[in-house]
Amino acid sequence: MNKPLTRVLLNVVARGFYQEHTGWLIVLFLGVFVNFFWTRIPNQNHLTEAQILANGFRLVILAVSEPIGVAALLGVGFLYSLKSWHYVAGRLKSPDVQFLAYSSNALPGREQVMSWAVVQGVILLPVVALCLYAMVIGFFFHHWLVPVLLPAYLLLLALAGAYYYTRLLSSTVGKPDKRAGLKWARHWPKPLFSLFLYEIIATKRITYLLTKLASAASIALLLLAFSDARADVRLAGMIALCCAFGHVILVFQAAEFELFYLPFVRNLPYGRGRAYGRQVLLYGVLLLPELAWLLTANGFRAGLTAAALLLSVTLLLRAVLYRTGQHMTIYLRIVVSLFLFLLLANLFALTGLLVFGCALAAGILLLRYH
Amino acid sequence: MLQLTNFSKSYRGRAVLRIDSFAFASGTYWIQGANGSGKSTLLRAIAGITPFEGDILLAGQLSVKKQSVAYRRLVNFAEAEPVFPEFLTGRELIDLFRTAKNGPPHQEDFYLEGLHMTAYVHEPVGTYSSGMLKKLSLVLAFLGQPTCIVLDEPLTTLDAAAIPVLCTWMARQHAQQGTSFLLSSHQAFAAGALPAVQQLLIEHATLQHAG
Repeated sequence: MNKPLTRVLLNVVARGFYQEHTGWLIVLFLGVFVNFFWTRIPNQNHLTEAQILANGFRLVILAVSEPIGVAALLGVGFLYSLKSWHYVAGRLKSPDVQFLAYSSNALPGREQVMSWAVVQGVILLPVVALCLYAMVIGFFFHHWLVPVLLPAYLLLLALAGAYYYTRLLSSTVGKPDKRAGLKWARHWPKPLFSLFLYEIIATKRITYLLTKLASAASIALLLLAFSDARADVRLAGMIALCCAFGHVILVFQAAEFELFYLPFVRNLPYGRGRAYGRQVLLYGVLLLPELAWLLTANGFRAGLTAAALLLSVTLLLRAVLYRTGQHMTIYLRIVVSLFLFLLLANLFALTGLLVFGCALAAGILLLRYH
Repeated sequence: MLQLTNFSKSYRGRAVLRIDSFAFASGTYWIQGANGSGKSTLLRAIAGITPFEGDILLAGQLSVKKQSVAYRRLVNFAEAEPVFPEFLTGRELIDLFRTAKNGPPHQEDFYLEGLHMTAYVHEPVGTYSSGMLKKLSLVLAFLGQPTCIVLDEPLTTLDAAAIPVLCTWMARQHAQQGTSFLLSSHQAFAAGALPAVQQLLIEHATLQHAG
């Protein structure tokens, strides 16, 4: 930790990773992994304390005892690492860290790998926490093999990342970058609204994949938890809200993309209605899988209401950034408050009203910005 | 041609630029100022891409705030350090700007040939050097039928051969369509590079005539 390279890397890479992904991690841990730590099951009065404990820890026990559970736990660790590798590889191309390409790689390879392994270890802390928890519960319930092997798996992930980053920084004079930016889509039409969609395909595939996985997981968990309320519009509304808020990181990145790459659009002679229309189209396409599921799996009225809610809430989440700017911490506070408020309003069967309210609020924020 | 009224711009409560009233007659202006003096802020405000207090009127009737669409059709802009999505080709950007700014078909051909850009205009801008990007942004600024073209640091990163070409374009555009130019730089104006240029200075957080 005290080595100069480690200190610099922690500052410019690990800190940046957490700054950029705080929202995503909160959404993931609050929305998905909270069940992993303790599964709430109602009406257990007739069970013994040992049975209640076993029920509460059933997911984490599954993760250290059954092949499917172990695969899921290791898969989460691998996906998280993949995401972090993707982030760091992108970060190393930023202009402000170019100095690493003509300083850090003069150190012996072993020292570079060790420094990067510490950084990757810090980046992996959420996964380390999950695994530590699984180890403790595993030992408590007398499952030995997987808990003993988990530290080796984490070490492997950290070293693999460290080796990859070291290679990236050492190969700056290797083969030139042959990516010519979506060669296959060069002749496809690229209307203004679609530019961020192309950006996702070009550079944000993993974020998109993880967002869609989180969306699918929230749909599955809510359907599982409220299986007796399938016809209730409030359940469809709740699913729509979870999907919309699961897209917070992509929405934030869309705003960032607009700010960095598309400032020239503000000099084009397009009105405010057109700007709003562009956003409806962008988020309509981005949310297409969820919209299609809501419309087809929930009956016409409930499906339509929930789909409209999903779109209008996402538009509102985008429009909030016009007020806050690209400040993740402030944005997240507003997002969490908004989520609680909308969830509560939805539970009071105000789903239809929320659709109009959110769309209107998004429109007003956009109008005021322009 | 362009009138600034009660113009002020602040960052986090600190006023960086304040212009009570300033009129740009038709012509070419060289706006000089030290780094951080507010040149780019002023030009971005005139281009309608950054918020500010007060108002800017084009031709005495089009307000950048109230008639923003019509205003932006007539005021074109090129950034000091242009950035575009890397996967877009120069051609796609040209088509976007020409359509938005209501330019005639093939208007760009003259400019692309002038700066020898035809060989790479079909490539994604991610493959461009900073000089090639700068040239592209200058071509984009000439598309349509602008009344005013705002160029932030137009000479930065341009190669020596491109500078006289740009000066010829400006003279031609002004002679044919009466287009005015606002150019910014932190360097002093090189006399003779452009005819009839009026020099302005941004100093003490305001805009004034030089000399």
